[in-house]
Amino acid sequence: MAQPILKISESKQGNVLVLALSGELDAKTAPDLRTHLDNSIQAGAIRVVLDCKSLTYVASAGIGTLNAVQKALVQKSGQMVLCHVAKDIKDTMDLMYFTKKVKVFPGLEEALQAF
Amino acid sequence: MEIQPVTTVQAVSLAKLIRLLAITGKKAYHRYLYEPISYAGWEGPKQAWSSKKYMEKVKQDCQDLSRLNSIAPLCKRMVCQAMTENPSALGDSCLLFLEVIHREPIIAGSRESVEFVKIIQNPLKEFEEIHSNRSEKLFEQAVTDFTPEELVSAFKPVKLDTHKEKVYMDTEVHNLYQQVLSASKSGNLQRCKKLLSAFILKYRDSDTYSEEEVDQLIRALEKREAGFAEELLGSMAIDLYYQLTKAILEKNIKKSIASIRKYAHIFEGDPNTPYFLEIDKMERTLYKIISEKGLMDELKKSL
Repeated sequence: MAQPILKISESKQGNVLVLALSGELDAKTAPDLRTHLDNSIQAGAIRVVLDCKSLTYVASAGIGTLNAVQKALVQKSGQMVLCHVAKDIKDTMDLMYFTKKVKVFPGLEEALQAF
Repeated sequence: MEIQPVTTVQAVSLAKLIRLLAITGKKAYHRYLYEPISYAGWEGPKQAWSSKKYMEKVKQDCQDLSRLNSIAPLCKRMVCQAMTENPSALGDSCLLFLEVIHREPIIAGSRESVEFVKIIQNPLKEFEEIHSNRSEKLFEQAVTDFTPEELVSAFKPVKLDTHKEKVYMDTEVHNLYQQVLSASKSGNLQRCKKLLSAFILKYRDSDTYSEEEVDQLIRALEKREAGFAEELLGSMAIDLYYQLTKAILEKNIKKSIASIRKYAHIFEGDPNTPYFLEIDKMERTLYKIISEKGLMDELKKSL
């Protein structure tokens, strides 16, 4: 069976951490993203943009992880926003009520302006 | 060698599997429960009492602290007697034995309890594996057969007026708080666990769920008993998976979908949660079929 793949590329735009996700965010890959985000938060990141341009699937395990991260960031007066979310992924997030808790922007520039 | 007591999560999980076995059919019941107990020599001779009478005696003795040490041997006699009766007597006896193991640490650490769990654990795990594969197929079939209207209705949340809902939730949290307080005062942490579990499973995916208040209660109980929160979450995951598999067997797609969503809301992608990967597989099937049927926009309208 093929190994689950989620590639995470990190960059900084001023004081905002931008993570570009590529692949599938499901039960097998969500723990990696969680570890990555937990480490970043521990290192002081409180403003995060998830660029979902190349994200092809999201499951509730992934949404659960993002939800937990958003809660942690809000507690530190920060937040996480999303951009470039494909329709299928946004639909799933809507069904899981996640888009009530996180802002979704069409592009990276708009997302960066959210802070 | 020191005996390792049966854990609460083990007892809860085995009890759920016996319940699932019961709705699966007689053949499986015989193979995965009756035979292992019989091969272990826990059968007969016919006792003076019926298993029903043993059950009454076990329940009665559970109220008397001085008799706690004698309950596990009594449970063994109850199961041995039930083996000579019928499948339903055997199931009820096993469930009661697991319930008292779950409730009383003294019973969980007894020789009979550890032996009993050792006898039934592996066969029931084998059943669980087979059942899990079957559930995935049944789930796929059920979702495929669903009409668009039924699928939309499965996703539709029950909408109350927001203010009414908030008032209702406040009252429910207040009741929960009072009940937990009373149970914890009498040292009955198992009851606290049951109360919290029932509340969270019922309301966690509601918009007005009182997360902070419930978390506070859990933190307070964790201070009284280390591991309380972990055990609570473990039992809830088992409970939800049981609800999901039961719903699948009953071809109740609405309940199946609701269970998947609740699971996601409660465990927030924690990979250490029991059945994490199994639920993920079923969810993938669900979304694949929704997308193939082109139902997503319709579903979103119903939110």
